[in-house]
Parts: sequence; structure tokens; C-alpha cells
Amino acid sequence: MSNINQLYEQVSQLLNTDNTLYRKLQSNLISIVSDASVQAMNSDQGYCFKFAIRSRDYRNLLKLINLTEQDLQKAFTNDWGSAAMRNHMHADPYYQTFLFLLYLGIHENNPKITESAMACMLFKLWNGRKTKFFQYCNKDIMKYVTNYMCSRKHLANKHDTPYELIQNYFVPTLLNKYADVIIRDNLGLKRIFEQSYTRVRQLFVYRTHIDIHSGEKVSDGGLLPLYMKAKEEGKSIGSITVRGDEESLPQFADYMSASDLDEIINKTVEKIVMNPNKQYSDVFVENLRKQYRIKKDVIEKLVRQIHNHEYHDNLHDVYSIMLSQAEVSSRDEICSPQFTETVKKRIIASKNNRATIALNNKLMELLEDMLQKTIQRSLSEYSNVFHIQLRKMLIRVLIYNLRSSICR
Amino acid sequence: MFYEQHENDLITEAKGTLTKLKNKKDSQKTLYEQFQQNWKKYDKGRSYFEEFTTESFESKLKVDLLYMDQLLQKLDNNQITEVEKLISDLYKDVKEIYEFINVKPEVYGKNITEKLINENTEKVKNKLSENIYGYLSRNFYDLPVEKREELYFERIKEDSRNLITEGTEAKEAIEYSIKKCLMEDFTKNICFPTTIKNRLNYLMEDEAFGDLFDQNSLRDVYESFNQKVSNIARIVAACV
Repeated sequence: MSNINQLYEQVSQLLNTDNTLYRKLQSNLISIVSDASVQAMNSDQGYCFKFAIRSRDYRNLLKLINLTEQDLQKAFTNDWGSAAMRNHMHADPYYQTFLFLLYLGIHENNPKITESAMACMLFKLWNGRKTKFFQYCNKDIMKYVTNYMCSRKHLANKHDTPYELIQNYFVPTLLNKYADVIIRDNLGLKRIFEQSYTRVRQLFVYRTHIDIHSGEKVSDGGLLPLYMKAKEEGKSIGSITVRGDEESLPQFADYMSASDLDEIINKTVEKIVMNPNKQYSDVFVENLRKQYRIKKDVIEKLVRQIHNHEYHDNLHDVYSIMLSQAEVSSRDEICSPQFTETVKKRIIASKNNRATIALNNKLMELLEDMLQKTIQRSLSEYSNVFHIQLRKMLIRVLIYNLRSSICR
Repeated sequence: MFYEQHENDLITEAKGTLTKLKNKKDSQKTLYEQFQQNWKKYDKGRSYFEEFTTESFESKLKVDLLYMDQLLQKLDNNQITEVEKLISDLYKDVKEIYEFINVKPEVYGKNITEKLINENTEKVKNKLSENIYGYLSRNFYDLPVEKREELYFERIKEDSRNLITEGTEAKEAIEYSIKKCLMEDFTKNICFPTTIKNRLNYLMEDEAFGDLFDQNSLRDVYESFNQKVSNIARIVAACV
């Protein structure tokens, strides 16, 4: 039995013998979360917001369940190993307290305790990342970034404040994925903690790489690079004016943000579904026939079928994954002859990563429906190698449509 | 008049209902029938085969050419030049067929893999000869006469007759025709070992495959392949 589990048994016994204690624990936790929500409501900082965390909150909770920081430290060190404890975050009593309460909530099947503990842990994780990446955060620039530079699908665009993001997105999704792992596995708590850290961090920076000119680590995704770009260009929520003509719109080459990608995707998908009678050149169809050995008349049916308006959302998802996997940084990149190679290398040849699996699933969904509607066959009648072949063909057709809609 | 019309309507309606009931009964299939129907639709080799890659074909080609080299040992230089051209043409078809059926190419023979190309010449020669003689024994020398006749009589009949008409002695003509048959079969085996051959046969006949993929072109390439194999076997059989 794990040490954390032993502590849990001890606390559970205590709580179950005294119902008032149980209710007090629950209400204390809820009140920390509700304090945070009041702070967020009264703040106009947007994504520059930082939660006010009081260390007495977690100490009071520990006292209530009759535990000390040392008890937790010992249990976590035994379960996670002393190497993990060398990391200051793993060894932080604040995180350990709320992780332990999370463990308790899940085992007691008490969603109030579970969700509140999870939220409290994420508040501090948010503060840490925010301070690391934005020591001085200008709320107007940040608002410009979240409203105008992030795509509509970006989490910061979907949720107005970090509090909402944590409560409505991170808490349910993380619990949904890792609650079972915590019950099954001794290291489940460690996994949810590290995953939470990664997810919060990804909001600020992702796609980190070494800049060949400066030799420094840079990221081209997340709030930080967009914020820096906006700051450099003097953009902020106060600088927004109504534009008189199309010429003054920022050009794509100026920057490639998530919103630009979204624009390309929307434009391409709209063009596909609004153009049900698109004519593909004979050369293109013949090339597909030669390369994928599919009958010419079937290719013609399938490429026509792609323009079915029912596929709007599916196509949107497929393009989103494809372009993010291809890591394109400009429109020119999509239009360059090397793009086909990039697609082959980063999308077709890439296997076993989550994005590729998701892309394949989406493509299979599309193909299944397309086959049913054109030749009344199902993918299950074909072997895996033919599934791959069909997916490759579909990607080729989608790239053809992408390029014909954005490249001149 | 009114009653007659009414009666007719009733009869038509009753007939319609009976037909519907009959159709419903017919359409209710037993579990076995449903299983059979699904089994027919199911691609039997769906997850067994790996995807074709150019690299795997190149590896196979290297080993196959070592086999061919063994078969061509008794040919003179002119014949070798001629056969080499034919082999190069043959492998264009072989590659196309593998691409068509989208299966990772396989190498013929027990314990033979692409690693063979890194072995020393003596070892390569021994391993390949062992496989070639093994094949000939299994398919000809070790067979009783009746079995040989059963296997080859129909196939060699026409070739032998033509040769005899051209003035070749009967015994010689039959011997040559059998050798040709064996060479054909062996070359086909090298190109498409049994599992691949079965897959190819399956796909050439599979309805679902034919509805989506260009099955006729696959059959054409296979026919061209057979023709080329026959041309190669004709020359090689004359010298072994």
C-alpha cells in the first residue's frame, strides 16, 4: 500500500467519525475557490490576472485533517521517490496538500472536494507560469492578443479569464482523463500534477526550439510569442480602430498567428463546401489513379464527394491538425514546392503521436462516409494497408484544395 | 358493381400483405447466413500484411537477383545479356504488382532474409542452391511418376507437341517442356512467395477490391508478368 494511501485511510477514518469535520473541510475548500472567483470577477486584468493565494489556507486545511507538512512530505517522498522531491514544485507543501485532498476526494467519491482541490492546485500553477513568462504584463496588450491574435479555438479566446479557463476547462478535462489513473496507479497523482503543469505551461509557450541565429530557446506558439509580437508592433486593445480599406489589413506575411491559420482553414473549407461542382483537372485525377491505383471513376466520385457541405466541420478539424502538424510559419511555406515534402515527413510518415492518431481517425470518419455514399462500400471491407493508401489520397486532395484556395 | 370493385380491392390488399409477409420471412437470415455474408465481405488478410515501401522492395530485389544469378550460371554471355534485359523488365511488373496490392515484399526461401546480401559468396551460393534443389526435389525429382504426370502432363502437352512437329525428338521435347514449367513456377515463387501469391489471387478476385481499385489493370500487369516469366523460362530451360 502506498504511503499516500495510508495517510488517506487515516484521514478518511477521522472524517467519517466526525461528520462536522467532513463538512468543514468541504466548505473551507469551496470558500477558497469562491474567493478566487470573486477576485477574478473584480479584476480587469484578463489573462494578466494573478490569484491571491494565502498560505494560511492550506495550513488550516492540514490542521483540520490533523496532518502536518512533514507527514505529507514523508508520504510523497516515499511514493514519488526522493529524486522527484528535489524539484521544488513536487516538494511544495501547498501542492502536496491539494494533491492529497484531490486523492481523498476521488477515493471518497466527493466531486466537491475533488474539483475544489484540483482548482486550488491549478491556481498556484497558473500564478507560477504567469510570473515566469509575464513578469510585467500589460493588460491592454494581453487583451489584444486574446481577442485578435488567438484563433477562435484557442483556449484564451474561448474563456474570458484564467479563473474560467481553470474551472470550466482544465478541471473537468484533467479529472476526466486522470481520475481513474489516480485510483489505479500509485503514481497517478504525480501524473495529474505534471500534466496540469504541462497544460498550463502550453498556454503560455509551446513548439519550443533553438533559434539558429541567436542560439536561444524560442517558442512560436502560445500567449508569450503573440504578446511579444503585439508589443513590438505597438498593438493593444486601445489601438484598435475601424479600418477603411482592405489594404491596411495586416498582411499574412507580417506574422503567422493561430488566427491567421484559422483564417486559411476557414477560407479553404468554405471554398470546398461552397463549390460542389468543382472540376479537377484530368492530369490531377490521372496522377491520383497512377499513384494510389484507385479506379478513375471512383476517384472522380470521391473528389466530388469531398465538397459535400456535411463535411464542413470534419474538414475544419482535419485542416487544423494537418497545419499544426506541418508547423507552417507562413503562407508562402504552404505554397512552396517543398510543402509536399513537409506533409510527407511531418504528417504522412509521422506515426504514433497523438495528433497523427487524431488526424487518422478524422480522415477515416470522412472516408467511411464518402465510400458509403459513392460506392456503397465500407472501410471495414478493406485491409489496413488500403486504409493507409486511401488516407494518403485524401490528404493529397485536401492539400490540392488548400493550395488552390490560398496560392495564386 | 360496387361490391365487385370492393371485393377486388380487398383481394389486392390481401395479396400485398401476403407478399410483404413472404418477403419479410425471406429476408430473415439465420445467424449462419449472416455470418457467411459478413465473412464474404471481410478482407481476410486485413491486418496481416505490412505496407509496401520502396526500401523493402529494393532489399527483396537484391536477394532475388542472387537467385537469378544462380539460375543463369550455365548460360553463355549472349544469353545472359538477353535474359538480363528480360529480368529487368520482369521486375518492373513485379514492383507494380506489389505496389498495387500494397504489401511489403517478401523474399523466397526458408531462413533467407535480406541479410543474406552481406554474407560471403560461398555461403550465399550454398544457401540459395539448397533452396533451388529443395524446390526441384519437392516439385519434380521426389515425386512418383503418376504425380509428375498429373502435375505437368496438361501443361507440357502443347509445348511438346509443337517441338516434336518442329523435328525435336519426343523425349527431348518432353524433358525441355517440363524444365520450362519448373523454371516458370520457380521464378514466380521467387517473385511472389506463397503468402503474397495467395494475397494477389485473393485481390484479383475480390469484389470489394474491384469496386474501389483498378483491378483490371492489376490483372493486365499480372498477365504481362506471366508472359515475361515464360520468356525467361524458355531460355533458361534450354541451358540447364
